[in-house]
Amino acid sequence: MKLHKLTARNFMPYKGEVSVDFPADDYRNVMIVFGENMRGKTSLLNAVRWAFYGQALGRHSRPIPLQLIVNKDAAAEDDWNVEAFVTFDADGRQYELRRTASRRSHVATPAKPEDFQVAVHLTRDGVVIAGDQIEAELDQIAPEQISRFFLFDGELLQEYEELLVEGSEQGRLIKESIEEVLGVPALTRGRAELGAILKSATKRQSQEMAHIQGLEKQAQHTQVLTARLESHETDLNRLQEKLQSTRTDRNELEDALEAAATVITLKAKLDAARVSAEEHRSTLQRKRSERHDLLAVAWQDMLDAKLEAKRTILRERQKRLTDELRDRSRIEGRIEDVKKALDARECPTCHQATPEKERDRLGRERGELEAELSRFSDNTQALQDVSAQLAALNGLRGNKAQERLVQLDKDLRSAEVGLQKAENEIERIQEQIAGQDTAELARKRVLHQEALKEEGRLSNEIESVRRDIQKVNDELAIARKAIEGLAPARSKRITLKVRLAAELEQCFGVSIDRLRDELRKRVESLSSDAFKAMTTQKAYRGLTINKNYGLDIIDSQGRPVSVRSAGAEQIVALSLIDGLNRTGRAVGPVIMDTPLARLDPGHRDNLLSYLPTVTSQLVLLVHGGEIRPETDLAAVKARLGATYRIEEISDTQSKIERIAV
Amino acid sequence: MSTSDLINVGLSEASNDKLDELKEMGVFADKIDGYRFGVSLALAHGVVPGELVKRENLFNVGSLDPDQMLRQAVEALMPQQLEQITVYRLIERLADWGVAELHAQAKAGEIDFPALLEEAASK
Repeated sequence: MKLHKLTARNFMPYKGEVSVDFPADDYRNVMIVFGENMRGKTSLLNAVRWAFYGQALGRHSRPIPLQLIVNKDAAAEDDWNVEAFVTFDADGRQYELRRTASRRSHVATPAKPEDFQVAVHLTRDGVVIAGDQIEAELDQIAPEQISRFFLFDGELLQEYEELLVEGSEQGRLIKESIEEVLGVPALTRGRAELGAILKSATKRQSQEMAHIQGLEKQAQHTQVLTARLESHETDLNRLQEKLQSTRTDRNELEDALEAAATVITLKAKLDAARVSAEEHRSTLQRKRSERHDLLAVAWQDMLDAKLEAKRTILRERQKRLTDELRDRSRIEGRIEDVKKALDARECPTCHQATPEKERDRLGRERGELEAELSRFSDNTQALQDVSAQLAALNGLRGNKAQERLVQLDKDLRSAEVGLQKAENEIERIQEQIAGQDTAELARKRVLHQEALKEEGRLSNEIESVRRDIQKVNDELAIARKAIEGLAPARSKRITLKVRLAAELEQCFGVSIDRLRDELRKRVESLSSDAFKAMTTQKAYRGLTINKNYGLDIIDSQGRPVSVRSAGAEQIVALSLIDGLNRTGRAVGPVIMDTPLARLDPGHRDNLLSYLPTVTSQLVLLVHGGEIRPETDLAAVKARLGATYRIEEISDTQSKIERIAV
Repeated sequence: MSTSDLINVGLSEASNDKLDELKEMGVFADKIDGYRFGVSLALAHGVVPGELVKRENLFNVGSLDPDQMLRQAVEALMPQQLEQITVYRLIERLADWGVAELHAQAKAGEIDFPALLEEAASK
């Protein structure tokens, strides 16, 4: 069997129509769909499951009600039509399978699956298959009972890892479901039917023999045993029903508590967001205050350039006036010297009379100097004024306001963005946890613990009743043997019937054991091969499976491996699922949702190399933590036929796009 | 030139309302900060504003210009104008223009103070 194409409409996060083409090539038969958590990987798996079996599964394999399958945004627009359309081939024939659900005409807003009209349409080589034949036809191609082994998610893996824990309750349940899948129940039910016939025959035999003299005691004994057996069986049924109902309650409580764990995480996030918002508010307040302080003095910066120009002019003027004053002082000093020389009429050193020629030159010099001096005005006051003005203006300087304002504005913007983000986060979380009651959660936690204890008590009681039933059955078998030899001719017929029913029941019992053993051996052989192909420890011999489907890894010396890593356990579980899948049907496509989460690169590469060889198509729905497209595809690159990515449009919508890697 | 200068400076009624609004918008912590910035903005632009219409008293000169820096700046940068008008009368006219300009910018979006400072530095 090979899948060709899936087209879904309004299916869970996919509003409108989305489609994926499965790889057609026999060798390049691997398809990888990348998508982070909550984007719609499992919904894609569910679209295929819903198309084939009319059921989408949520946690604990519980069916998702039809009204929740319809995309929320489409429903908000009053579009309640959902559809999954799959084309595929099997045994050389082409199939088209379409399942649609639409709101019934009298329903305004669907609140339960019955509010929908569901239609399924299957064609084989273009010929329409009658409605009552569709289920049987699909069961031939991809039996629903074993669908969990070829359409499976990480939850199944975790469940199957429980088989590695010897004697676990979960292990017993899985064993029952495995046997259910592999065909043992037909025989088990046959044995149960024969048991009922035997019981009724034994009853009748006892009644008949009670009237025969000499056999009253045996008859009475058999009657007592039969009554006791019935009583034990009634007890067993009652206990099993109670266990089932307790288990259902516990699962529901687990779901509620898991949801509560999310609430607790969200509350922690809410507190952190509130602290963050408060810090941003405080930063904003502080920075705004700093900005105000800076703007109060920034007027000085506004004038910096103009005042600096003014200061330059004043400094130049000050220099000029100072120079003038110095020149004036120098000239005045020289005039004084010349005047003294002229007045003295003799040389102050040698005391000889100054020659007339020299006195003439000094007189000319004095005149020139006095003329020069007369050109100077008294600028002392002007210099004082300029200096005072300069001193005053020097006190008026900028505060580097511009660059500080730029930085402050940047800080303010950053704090505003941070605050907005934190407030959005607070609002989002508050909406998510609205209406959650912590007291109610505490109550559920206690109820969950009590349910677990009750399950344990009921399981023990069931075991005890089973032992009692076995004991009574053994006693009845002895009693029947005894009666056989004593029965007179008139009770021969019923005695014969009892014997026949007893022998048939025994025959069925032996057949059940034989079929179980054979199936288990086949599963063990296939799982062991798968394990050897996928484990990174090549010295291991393989796996063994005991009567309870408990699994053991066998080392090179033939001894069970006692310590296993989480990755090894996951490989064991995957091997078992592969073994079960291949025991239950011919080679076909396998779709795995988040199967690689706990594997190291070696195991992951082995898995990616092995599974394409035992499937017609391998579809892996993975998140970025499992496979990074840039680095982790070497082992499967040659076999890669298609890659897609699921992108979030909003929290209620996703889209899927083909990508190249 | 008027012989006596002002003891209290003010603004026109319209600009006073605008300054109130600037404070309410959180642009300035106090009106007096906006008033001084308005004066400096007008000085930086070399504006020669006219007389105030419907003048309202706002601040005592001693509060506005305790160390007379504003006065010295105006005296240094607008000596010609001071031939016809006293310093603080000129200052309030400058403030009136500056406050109106700041208000107009705030109304148009947000006052880009770094850009105003940049512009003033390049003039």
